[in-house]
Amino acid sequence: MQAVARRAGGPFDYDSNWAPSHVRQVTSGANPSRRIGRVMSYTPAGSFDYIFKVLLIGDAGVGKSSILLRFTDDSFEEQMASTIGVDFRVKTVTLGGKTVKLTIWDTAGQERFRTLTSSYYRGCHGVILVYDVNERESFTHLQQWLEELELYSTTQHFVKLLVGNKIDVKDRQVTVEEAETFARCVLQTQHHAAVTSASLLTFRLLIAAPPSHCGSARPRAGGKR
Amino acid sequence: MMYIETSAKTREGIRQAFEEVVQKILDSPALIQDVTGGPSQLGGLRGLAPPDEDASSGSCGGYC
Repeated sequence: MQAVARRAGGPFDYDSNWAPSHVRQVTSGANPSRRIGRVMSYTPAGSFDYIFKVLLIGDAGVGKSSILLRFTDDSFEEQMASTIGVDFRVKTVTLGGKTVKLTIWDTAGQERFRTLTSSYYRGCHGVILVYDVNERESFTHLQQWLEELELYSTTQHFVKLLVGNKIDVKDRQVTVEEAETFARCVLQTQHHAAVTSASLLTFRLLIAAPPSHCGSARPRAGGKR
Repeated sequence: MMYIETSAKTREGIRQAFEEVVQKILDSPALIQDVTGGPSQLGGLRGLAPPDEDASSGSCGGYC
């Protein structure tokens, strides 16, 4: 048995790299701190307190795969190929004294790859909704992504995070205020749904007629540019 | 729902985004219970995942 090699430092320490989904992790005899090349599929052995399944969803081209690659490998590719089906990476992190193994599912944003949806939503603990701050359409589509999420997810209890990516591009089409308002109102709408009924029908009715103070928060096609 | 802005190119916000998600899950008793409660938590990942008792007890995840 090997212990996890934890680095001292910030509250969020990293101690492993990634493994592709199709290869079982092989750790026997491996040095926990050793980083194996991407073609190989080794990840360090180690103990952990929890396994969390986290999904990245959002329109094609908003940067879901790049976010994942940056997080797991700390690398970036200017010309990232479109994801086909689902990509999957594992990273172990330590936060607040708990070691968490994150299985991060990077889903294809393209419509033609949407047939696997129900299987990758199943049992998730967290969902990161990604849009491109320079591409307004990816923001307006968030509502559809939320609806798909509610349709396919098997549990009411999962964490959602809205991420506006590509802020380095400087061609912003969605303001921070718009995004924050939308995120806040999604939370409120879900709270209303949870109080009255956790059913999908109720959620959808509330989405269709959100609280008046949140009416302007839904992503609109004709917003500020 | 929290909102974070990121740039995968410059690294900005990437760590914070995942950190936020993990912290929120850790702060949710219902989710933690799901994690330790049964095999369904793993969804389609059973082939990769260690036994549940190991996941919850913090011992080696079955790979030692």
